[in-house]
Amino acid sequence: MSVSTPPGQPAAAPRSRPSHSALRAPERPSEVGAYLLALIALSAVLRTQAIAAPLWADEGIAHGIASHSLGGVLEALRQDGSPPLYYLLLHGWMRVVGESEASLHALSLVFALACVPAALWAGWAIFGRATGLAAAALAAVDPYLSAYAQEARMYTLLSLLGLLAAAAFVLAFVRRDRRAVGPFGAVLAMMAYTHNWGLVFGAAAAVALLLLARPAPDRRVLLRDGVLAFGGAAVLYLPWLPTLLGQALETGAPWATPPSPAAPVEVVFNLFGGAVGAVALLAGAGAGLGALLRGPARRPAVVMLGLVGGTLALAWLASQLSPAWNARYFGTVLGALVLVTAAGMARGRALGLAAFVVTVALWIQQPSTTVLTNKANADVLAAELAPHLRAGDLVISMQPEQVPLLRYYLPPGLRYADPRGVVSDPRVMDWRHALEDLRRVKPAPTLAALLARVPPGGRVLFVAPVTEHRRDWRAPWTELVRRRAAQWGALLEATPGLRQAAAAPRFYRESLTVGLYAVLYRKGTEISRALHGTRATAQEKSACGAVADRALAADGAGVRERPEELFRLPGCAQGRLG
Amino acid sequence: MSPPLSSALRRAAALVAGLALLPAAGCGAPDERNRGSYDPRVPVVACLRDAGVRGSLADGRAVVAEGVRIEFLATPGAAEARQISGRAQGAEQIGRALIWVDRAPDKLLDRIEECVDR
Repeated sequence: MSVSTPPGQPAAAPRSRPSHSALRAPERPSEVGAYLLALIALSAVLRTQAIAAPLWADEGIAHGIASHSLGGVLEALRQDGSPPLYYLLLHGWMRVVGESEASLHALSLVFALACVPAALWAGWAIFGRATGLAAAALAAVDPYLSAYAQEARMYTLLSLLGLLAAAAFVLAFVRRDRRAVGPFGAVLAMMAYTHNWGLVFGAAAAVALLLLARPAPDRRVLLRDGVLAFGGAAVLYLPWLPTLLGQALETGAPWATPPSPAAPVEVVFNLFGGAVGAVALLAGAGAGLGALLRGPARRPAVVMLGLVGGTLALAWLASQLSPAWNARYFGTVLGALVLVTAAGMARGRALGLAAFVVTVALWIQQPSTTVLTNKANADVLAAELAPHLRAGDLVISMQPEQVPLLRYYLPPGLRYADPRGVVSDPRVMDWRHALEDLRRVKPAPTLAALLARVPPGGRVLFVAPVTEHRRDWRAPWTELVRRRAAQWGALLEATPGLRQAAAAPRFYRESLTVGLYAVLYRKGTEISRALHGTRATAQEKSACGAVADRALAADGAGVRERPEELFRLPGCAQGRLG
Repeated sequence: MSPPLSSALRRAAALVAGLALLPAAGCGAPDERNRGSYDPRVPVVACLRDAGVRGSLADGRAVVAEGVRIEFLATPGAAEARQISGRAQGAEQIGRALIWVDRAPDKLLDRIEECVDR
């Protein structure tokens, strides 16, 4: 890794004050290398505490999409609405490393660990040695990166690219290092291929470039470089553009609500481990803000803050028109924030150092393993109910986006449906016109058609979300999912011949995302349908049903042909059952 | 002589005064709590009435709104436990309430959910 000295800065980074001598920062390449390795090792330890944590819905989708062939991944993404880079990487990763939870998470871990040397390089190259060292330490323990290092999603990749893009932008258009123009374009394209909000970062960067160009003496050269970088990114992105347009027309985020005015603040808290961590960090950064804004690093710092503010503002405005806001998408700006706060801390003298120590101490403890291992409970449902399920049984998931996760954990060979009907590919969530379809499709005839294909003795697993956090169930999609779940549940309970065989989970621990519960039904034989209209109690029906099931298993053909024989069985023979 | 209040300051003062009057006008969260009693059903019935849905208290723990039974449990956890154990999959759980949807039309459920989910 080569680390150049920022133009306009002395070759040696500003000396620490004598009072810091006990914490003398590493200077020699070997010392820096050792420091970096130590940070990466610490980060690896912190970020593998929950590496084998059970998956939640979005991770199930990621695994499902990546488990297609290469061409199939691209095709599946037409239904999902995401760009392909992470899924293609995960596809290759799964082939080499495997598909267990730990294997899936390990790819995200690699990107999270790569943020450490990237932050060292970027901080050093732009703001000087002390900033580089501080930024690397912050990147090693940042709770957002620690959380998503153990999640099979694209957010650590997005964070890494966001960090590199912010640094390359400043080097190319503020420091005027033209070697960074091409890399900026390439990284920007990769961001757009990783998450659609990479496009928002790109828009903010374009606005920043125009603002930089206005007073620049070399405006024409600057704009020409800008055209090269942004144009290059656009050309690289061009092959995906038709798919993006199709996704924009057909898919969406009906699960989202417009962000509140305070949402950008929540984003900063989310990136920096909650309010306390964020305040400690920002206080430390604020201590050096004056020195930062007075020195040669003023413009890079202002531009980085502009990239952060611009991305947040554009995303907030866009989400007022078409809600798609989620705090976890802002890995795009994490890198710029880390670099600027590290630069402030590095110039904040004793207060900066104290805040740095407090921040690191707070962050090391976050997020808790308990939280990370309790994102969802599909694994628990599967463990409890799998012994009751056979190939060909029907799983009906009331929240359609849970289907890929259920498929990951449940035994193979099951059939899947959601409130819109049969799911042809349970590895993908089809978001195309999803809300319209959920509104349009009537529960009663859809369920009847599904049950008609379940043979006598077959099982139907009804899986519904636990709607515990009211605020999470107020978007158009989630409100309707909650209602459809109840409507389908009522229909299943009222269906003649369906008998409740089990329910799960036995114990429920509040899930960080969406928890699930499940009820297993068994489609009965003639006798259970006959029993439905009798005066028998539920207990009597259940006892008789169990006897009948055993008789059918022992002597299938004979009894099936003469269902009236079942009424002679012990437990079914009481007069009131007839 | 002190300068006259600027129009912006006057507007700000009017806004503050207006906001201060909101609680007195009964705006904001529905009042579920009278001295010595707590019944979460009361504001729901009032809301339903405002929404044009006939609703009434029933058997100490429920509200019936045009045939739809809304059962209120002691805590949201109790409602959740009932559903997870397979005894309320025909109900929407919203906080402590279980709305037994049966075959009620979507339009009616829209208004009921709105009133329960406040």
